[in-house]
Amino acid sequence: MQRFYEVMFIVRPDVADEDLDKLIAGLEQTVTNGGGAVRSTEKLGRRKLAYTVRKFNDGNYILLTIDAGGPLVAELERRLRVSEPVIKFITVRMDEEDKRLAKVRAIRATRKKLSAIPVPAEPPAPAEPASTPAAAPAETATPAGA
Amino acid sequence: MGKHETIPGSMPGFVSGHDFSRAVSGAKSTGLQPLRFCRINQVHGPRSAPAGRKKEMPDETTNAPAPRSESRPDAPQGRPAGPGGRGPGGPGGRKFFRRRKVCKFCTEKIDAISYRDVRLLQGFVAERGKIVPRRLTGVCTTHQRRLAKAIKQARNIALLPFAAGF
Repeated sequence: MQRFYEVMFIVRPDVADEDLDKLIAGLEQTVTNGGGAVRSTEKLGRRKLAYTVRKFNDGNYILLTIDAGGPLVAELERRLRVSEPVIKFITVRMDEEDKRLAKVRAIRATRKKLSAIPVPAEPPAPAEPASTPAAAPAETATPAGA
Repeated sequence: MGKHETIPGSMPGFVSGHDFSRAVSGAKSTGLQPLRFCRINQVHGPRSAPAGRKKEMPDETTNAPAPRSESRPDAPQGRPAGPGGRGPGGPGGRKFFRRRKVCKFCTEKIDAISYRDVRLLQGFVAERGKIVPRRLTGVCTTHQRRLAKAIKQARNIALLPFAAGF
């Protein structure tokens, strides 16, 4: 049962780049060792913090999106808490949100295709990969009709 | 002279051209005549002036509305939103309600309100960092709840301040 999480953490600004990379690699290793998978790592760069955290006014933001189980996330958080360069972190569970978004998008896709059928001047997107199977015959019909 | 007073709203107080002449002639009555004309003007005053409403704005919005207007250039419905923003649900003393503000997220079909897009969130946060109530921004309930959650997450990760401005 793999859940999808987003972990954002802030590293203090006075660590060297290579130390930062080492830290991120270590965390990724933790995830993969625990049976999870890292989807992506994003370095959002140095940003000014909205308030002072541990006497720092800016920090390096890093976003890690992972697929992991619950206990693994707990372990990851423990590591973040203990590691000295990391000054703040937040873990957000995203799989339920993703499910909801996918559902909304699917509903919206069907609705859009249905409304596009009677219009002869179809917007130039005949090979839309995201079309639902019900809409595909409608799509092929309209270029033939036009 | 008296009969003109009994018909207050009548613009045929232009008949009062007569009165003027009489006023000019009578030295003491000149003091009285302008008063009567002022009263007639007052009847029309509050109805016409939206400027009167603007004075109430500082009472409603204690924080600067500037950040909110910047982020929504595509909603030119005007900011003066009184308490009856979303409908006549309890006007609270105001006789007529503002034009209904629409939820920005519903119209623009923004599904996901992430804590990461600070620009979007800043449009719903006041100058001091407080979350703006939905009666002022016109956001619908579901989106306001998600928005609030996202703002609180952003505050935790130092993307937005808890309290700012002083």
